[in-house]
Amino acid sequence: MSLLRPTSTESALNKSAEVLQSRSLTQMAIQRFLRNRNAIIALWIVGILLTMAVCAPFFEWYTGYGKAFQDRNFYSGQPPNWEARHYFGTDQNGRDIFVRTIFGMRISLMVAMVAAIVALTVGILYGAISGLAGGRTDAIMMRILDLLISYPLTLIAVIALAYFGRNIFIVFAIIGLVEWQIMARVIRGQVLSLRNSEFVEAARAMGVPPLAILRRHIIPNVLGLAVVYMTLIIPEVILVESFLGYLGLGVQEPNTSLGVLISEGAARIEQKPWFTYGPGFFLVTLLLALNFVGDGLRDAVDPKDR
Amino acid sequence: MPWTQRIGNVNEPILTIENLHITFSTPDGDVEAVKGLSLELFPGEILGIAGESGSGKSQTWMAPLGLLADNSRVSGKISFGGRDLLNLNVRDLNKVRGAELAMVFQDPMTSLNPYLKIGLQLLESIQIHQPELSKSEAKFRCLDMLKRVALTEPETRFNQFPHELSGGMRQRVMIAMALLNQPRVLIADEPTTALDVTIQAEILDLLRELQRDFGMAVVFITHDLAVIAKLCDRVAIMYAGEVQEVGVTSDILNRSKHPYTQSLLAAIPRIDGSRGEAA
Repeated sequence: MSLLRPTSTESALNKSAEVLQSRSLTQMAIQRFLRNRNAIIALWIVGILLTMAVCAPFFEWYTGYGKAFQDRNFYSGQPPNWEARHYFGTDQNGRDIFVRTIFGMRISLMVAMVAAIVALTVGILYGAISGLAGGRTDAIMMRILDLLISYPLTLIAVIALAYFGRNIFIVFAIIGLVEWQIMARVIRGQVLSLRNSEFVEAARAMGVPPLAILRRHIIPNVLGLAVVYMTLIIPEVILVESFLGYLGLGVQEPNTSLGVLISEGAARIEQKPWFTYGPGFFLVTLLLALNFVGDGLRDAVDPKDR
Repeated sequence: MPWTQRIGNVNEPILTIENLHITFSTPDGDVEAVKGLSLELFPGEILGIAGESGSGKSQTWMAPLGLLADNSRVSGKISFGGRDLLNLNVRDLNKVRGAELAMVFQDPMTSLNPYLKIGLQLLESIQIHQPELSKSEAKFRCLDMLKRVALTEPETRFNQFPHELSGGMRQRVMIAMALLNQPRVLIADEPTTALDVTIQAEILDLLRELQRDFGMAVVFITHDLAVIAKLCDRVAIMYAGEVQEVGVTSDILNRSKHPYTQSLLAAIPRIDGSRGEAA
């Protein structure tokens, strides 16, 4: 063994740490993402929309939402009017559509996030277990998934709503429980290929116990992919929620969501077209921006690009 | 400790394989990769395992480490340090592999976890088998080992990720990782095949030097007879899951009467374009 004292290597380590610019794969992925201009613009848009959703009560106060609502005979169903601060006009009940849109977006985003987190957790767990177990367990778990996927989402939603009543949290849960299946499949595939990868084999040859292999060698390699799929699930969930809202199965009054607003507007699109303009614009912008962010992340994480 | 003391009794095998059978069940029926192989590894020697692809040379040495694929069946006996490695459960096997019996793999590009720094991966192998060491002592040993395998700027490499290192550097890291716990047997499965010729020569010299310094036995699996001639004390020639011939390297390579060994030697391309004569 060498005669060097630990202290001298320690100081050499500290010295080299200053010179060294070592980058992890995650850091490189972030850097690639930051260089993707479309994704960054989309991220800004999502950020602005998110801030608006968080600050919804401010817009309520600023547009005099409550006042207009009280004087509904005068204000109901007015087209957009910038001087009166009704940027998207008012609805049948005299409520400001801009404020309703912001509040609706708030609900839509909440649904999406809860569903995405449910999908992420259940999907990773199910996929990782299935991929790691392999063999017969894997086959059975995947057939169960096939069975679940073959049920149409709308049918499940309608049955569950009839059964549990119109509770927004049930909607969250159902959507999340439907969306996790794709996630589980993706994770399983990744775990399956990682399980047989050479560095996992090398770790086994090194005597690393199975749980430590999962924690240190498999999960970190799966997380990037999981985050990408989560950002792609969010817009999908928003769309599903809007669809349910359009069918009249979604959020109930006085709460609203983008889908509910569009469906209400669609009923009067010939007389009062501005009912749909605002919510529609926000929905499309949000979905587009989220998809761009998701695509950007996927490109950044994709190891083939390395 | 001088290597002569570590080696112990040179006449008594450190690892014995007896009547090893490895069978893979595939959709097309069973494939017997290794058919009743018996082999002895003596302390402090470098044993070359030569053979063509599919001769079972790699699978034979995956067995003692418990790395055979799920669809395999093994029978026979592999004795190492008073234990039969084929009968150990994963927990007991984990105490042996990496500590007393270590392996260096063929492809250094894929044998390191791309998401962990080199240092963390080295530390992992030392902390599993020597948990009593303090973190600074473990780190010191890792750095020391990186110096032993002649890796440039070990302190810098310690904090780098695998993709920042070249293939030759990564193979040095893999060798350092395998040697961290001072194993008594090192299995090297074509460790230089994925490297270019100059790096290959350096790695071979390094292995020879480390083998002398640490006094361990090395199993060197390769299809390259030139490497065997350069490195190994003894050589076993494998074909179709069986050992055809075992002996001192110079005897086998120069005076073999075995037809397969002769045709293997004849298959080496020569620079003058003439072909050797197969028996």
